[in-house]
Amino acid sequence: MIDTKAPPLHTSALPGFSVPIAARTALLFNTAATSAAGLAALLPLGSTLYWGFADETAILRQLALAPEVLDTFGAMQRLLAALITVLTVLPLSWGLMRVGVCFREFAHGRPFAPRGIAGLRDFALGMAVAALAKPVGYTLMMLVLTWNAGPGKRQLALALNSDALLMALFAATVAALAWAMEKAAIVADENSQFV
Amino acid sequence: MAIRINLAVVLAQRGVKSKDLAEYIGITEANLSLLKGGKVKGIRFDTLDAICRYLNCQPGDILEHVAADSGTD
Repeated sequence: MIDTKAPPLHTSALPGFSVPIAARTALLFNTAATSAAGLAALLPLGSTLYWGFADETAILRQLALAPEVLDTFGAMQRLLAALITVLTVLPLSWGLMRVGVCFREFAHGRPFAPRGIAGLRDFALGMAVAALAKPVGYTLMMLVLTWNAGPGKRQLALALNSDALLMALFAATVAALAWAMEKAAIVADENSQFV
Repeated sequence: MAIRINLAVVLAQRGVKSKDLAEYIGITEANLSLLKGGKVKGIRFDTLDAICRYLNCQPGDILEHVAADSGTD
C-alpha cells in the first residue's frame, strides 16, 4: 500500500545517487575546490608573512598613515597586527574550505547533497563574518599601529568601505542561493520517490 | 487516504517476472520492488502506461483505493 505519510527518502542517503556530469565539468569543479582550499591556506599565511616582513614605508602607504605616528614599530606590534589580520581573514578561510566541499559534491554529480549545500551556506556565513570583522579589524589595527605614537597622535579609526559592503552583499546572495538549493533538494527528494 | 498496489498479484496472474517488467518500463528492479511494496510516494503516468501495456491491464487492476477505516493494509 502506498504510504502517503511516509517520511521522505533522502536521495543523498541512497548510495551512489548522482546525476551524470561531464568529465570537463568535474575537472572544473575539482579545480575550483582545490583553488578554494589553496586560497584558504594562503590568506592567513600571506597575512602573517606580510606583517612579518613588510617595511614601515609599505605599511604607512597601505594604511595612509603619517610617518610620525609609526615612530617605533616593534616586534610586538608586528605580532599583534599579524594576529588581527589573521583573525579577520580566518572566517573567510573557513568559508573557502567549506565551499570546497560544495565543489567536490558538484564534481561527483551530487548538486543537491546536504553536505554541499551546508558547505555553500557556511561559505556565506564565513564571508558575512569576515565582512563584519573587516571594520573591527581596521579599528584594532590602527590602535595597535599608533600605540607607540607621541601624545595626541594615537588613532582610533572607524571605517566602513565599499569592499566590506560588497562582501556582505555577496555573502547574502550566496546564502540566498544556498537556501534556494535546499528547497530544490527537497523537491528533488520528493521527485525521486516517484517511480 | 490509502492506495493499495496490486501489482504483485497482477504479475503473478500473468506469470510475468519482475525483472522483465522492470526492463520493459525502464526502471530498476529495486524501484519496481518499492512500487510493489507501496513504498513510493507516487507513480508517473509514463510508468503506469508501460505497466498496463506490458501486462495488458487497466490502471484499476493495479491501484485500488481502500478506505482508511477498513482495517486492511
